Amino acid sequence: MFKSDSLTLDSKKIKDFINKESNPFLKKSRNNFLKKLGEKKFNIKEEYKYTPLKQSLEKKFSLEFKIDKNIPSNIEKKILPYIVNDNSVYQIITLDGKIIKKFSNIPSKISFKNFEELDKKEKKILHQYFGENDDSDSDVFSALNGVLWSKGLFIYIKKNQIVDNPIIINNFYTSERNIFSSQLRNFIFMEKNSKLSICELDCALASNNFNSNVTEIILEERSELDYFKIQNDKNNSTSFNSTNIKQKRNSISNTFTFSFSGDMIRNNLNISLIDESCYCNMYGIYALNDDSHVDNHTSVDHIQKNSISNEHYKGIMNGNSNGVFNGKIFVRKEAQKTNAFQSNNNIILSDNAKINTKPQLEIWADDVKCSHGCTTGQLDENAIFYLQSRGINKDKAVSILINAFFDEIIQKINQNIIKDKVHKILSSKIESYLNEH
Amino acid sequence: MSEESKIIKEFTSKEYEHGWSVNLEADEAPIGINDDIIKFISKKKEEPRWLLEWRLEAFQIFKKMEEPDWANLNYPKIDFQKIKYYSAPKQKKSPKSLNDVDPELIKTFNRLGISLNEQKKLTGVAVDAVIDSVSVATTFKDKLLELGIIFCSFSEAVKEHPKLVKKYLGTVIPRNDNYFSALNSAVFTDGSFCYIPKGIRCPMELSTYFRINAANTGQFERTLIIAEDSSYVSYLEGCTAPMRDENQLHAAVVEIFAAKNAEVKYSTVQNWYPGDENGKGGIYNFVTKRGICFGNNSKISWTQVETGSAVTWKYPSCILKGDNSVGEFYSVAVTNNYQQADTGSKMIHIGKNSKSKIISKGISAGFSQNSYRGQVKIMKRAKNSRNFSQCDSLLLGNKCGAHTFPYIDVENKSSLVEHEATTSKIGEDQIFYCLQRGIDEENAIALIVNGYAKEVLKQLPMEFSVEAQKLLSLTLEGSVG
Repeated sequence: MFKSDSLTLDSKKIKDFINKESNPFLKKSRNNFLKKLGEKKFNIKEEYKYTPLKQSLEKKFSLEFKIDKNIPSNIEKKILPYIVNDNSVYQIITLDGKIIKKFSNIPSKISFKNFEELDKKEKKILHQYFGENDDSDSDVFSALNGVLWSKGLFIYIKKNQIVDNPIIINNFYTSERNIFSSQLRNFIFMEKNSKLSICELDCALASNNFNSNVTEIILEERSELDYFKIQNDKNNSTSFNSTNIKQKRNSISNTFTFSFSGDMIRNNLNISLIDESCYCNMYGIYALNDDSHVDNHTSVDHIQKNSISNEHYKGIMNGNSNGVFNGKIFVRKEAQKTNAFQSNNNIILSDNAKINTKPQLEIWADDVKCSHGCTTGQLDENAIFYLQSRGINKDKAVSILINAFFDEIIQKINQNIIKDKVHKILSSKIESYLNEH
Repeated sequence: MSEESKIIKEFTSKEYEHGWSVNLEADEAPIGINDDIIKFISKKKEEPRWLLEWRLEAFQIFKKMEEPDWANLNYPKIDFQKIKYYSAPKQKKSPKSLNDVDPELIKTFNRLGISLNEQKKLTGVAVDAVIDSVSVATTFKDKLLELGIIFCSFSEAVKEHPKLVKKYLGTVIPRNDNYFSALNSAVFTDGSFCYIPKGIRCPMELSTYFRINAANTGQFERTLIIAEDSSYVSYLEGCTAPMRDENQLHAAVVEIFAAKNAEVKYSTVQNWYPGDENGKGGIYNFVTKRGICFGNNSKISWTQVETGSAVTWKYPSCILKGDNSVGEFYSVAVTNNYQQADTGSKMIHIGKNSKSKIISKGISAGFSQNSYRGQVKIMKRAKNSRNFSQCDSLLLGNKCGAHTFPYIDVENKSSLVEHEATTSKIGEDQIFYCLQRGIDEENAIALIVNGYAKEVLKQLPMEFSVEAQKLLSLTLEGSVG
């Protein structure tokens, strides 16, 4: 029986669940994760220091282990508004992790499937890499997801394949008030010289949804990935995400995490640069109000020499919201000539908002350039005055300054359709800030 | 590269110069800790009943607590039953003047370069010297008393100023604050006590020297500094210990109370025995230091130069309770061989317009691990408060590590907090620049490291600044050659 401060699992029901798994490989993998859950000592106290699991999870969710299968009837109606008719994007719609083919337009040349549909070669890749690259050794929710995940996406980009348009994935969740229902696990494998842009949006169809997503990504030599996550769910959902990227020589990853709304969001982003000359950019924006709580934990691990990492997270907190940022940089003994840069800037707009930030450097190599910077402040009164003295009213001035604050990151988005999307959400967010003041 | 590794090797193989011990006859308590030992200590010190009860309660608290394991330190578990909690150099009677002090003791302090001799007034520093567990001599006492300044050993203060001690003891660092403060509260043996009355500016630096001499002994001293309204004091602390193969425990508590408009400057040069080059022996240094800026416009400033100890666990902190109060922390921490340091500062902003500044410079060499761990907390009512933190690390060689763990918590919309940290090695271009101007490589490294630490060293009072620079250049001397 596994027990932590906030979760208790009934081991018999879990075992029954695992025994229903038909794929012997996955069955073994689930059992491995279960073993981890029992044996590992998870440092919940430190890793979830500012995200109070106990009060928020226990109060809101049923901790009884059940997987409900009742899908509400008028689903299609709810999904339709999200469908974009744009030839410059590939769109995938998933419902509790299952790809709805009717609404999706995946080109046949890309392997983009649920795990049940894999062919022989894809299975081989899965068996070789699956379950080895996540943070389940240190994060209890990732380990839990490893045992209980119900559906997942498998994305495989072949050697030299350049995916011309961005893939936008809309994930819809139907379950309500249950921790164990929406557990998804994705797997992305990119072979040499391939290129892909992918954007994930989460949307709960029921209120008080809990979803947990673990994504494993492997980038082979010289591959390049843009990975966007947009979190703007207004249905009081709670979301625990863990994205894990393993990079080989000369590969590039650009990750963007945008959090605008949600009751409680936790994003773990772990990048490990296992080879020489890797490059990774991590960007994030969190613009919060009301009672939102967003916790970004990132970690980049420089294992071999000559790699570059660059991280920039910016946030604005209003209302009673709470932002948490923890950025870890590890530079191992072999990782000489590493350049690692990290920056975190915050603006607090109300006296009830809070920010807890912890930039963390751990360095074992001497010939490196590593730095981090972190600021917390408010909008510059002088700048507002300057704009006002030029005939711009205060609201407009504030809106200009907030836009400028985030622009540095938005400019890094190289996909126009995604840039527009983020801009649109941000504008409505700024409007809501102005209304509150 | 070979030149570089040679320099690093010589730097890391430098020996500890205070590693001697003196055969002083000592009065000791049996090994181990229990209620009887605490009663023994209390009786030895002829303490009032309330203090004994205070200690016993602290021991109860200690027994319920668990040793903290969150620090980035790796050391074998300490067996608290194998430590001697009381050891005092034997003196026939308490000394009235320096002539009565054991000449062997005087010799000890002369070797340390501390003037206990009141003749040497030129140095202008009042010294309280603590060997093992007890204070052995305090200089310039009478002169200070004329101004109403009390500067004496802690046990003397308990006897002569019990009201003051009772009022302030444990107010800044309560017994249940942490594991080591609970232990210290139960078994502390001596330390320094300092009281600056209202409106007085202490005319000289006050200084305490701590030395562990006896084997297997823990040192648990307690320092209490009280600065009344509009007073000022600059306080210095230095420490050394003999070279021994086993690890010795040092768990001190320093409490500072600053009333309205008061200013306290606390400087430490910590040079405990760091263990030999294979990491054998050395002091385990678990120290709780905290000051409270209780009144408005008060100021507390910590400056530390940490070169010693096998393990350092130390976070001098400021609670900025008064409006417009100021907290400062300047630190240079050098680790070498197998030394481990987990050190930093906490600034808790409660009062309006409070300001704090953290400057931390870490230098790691050999196989050592050097961590900065700090917290800046801005509470909701601390409007318009301000913090600036900078923590830089310098790495010499690729077998050591530098780590930074800053926690920043802000809870209002009018405060400004900035934090920055860098890690690098001495730049090849910097060395090249010096070489080009005829400065050889060793001197170039010395120059660069001194410049790197200068921001902190210049905060030290004159007398200490000289000592600290000497200490740093001594450490660097190994690299010159």
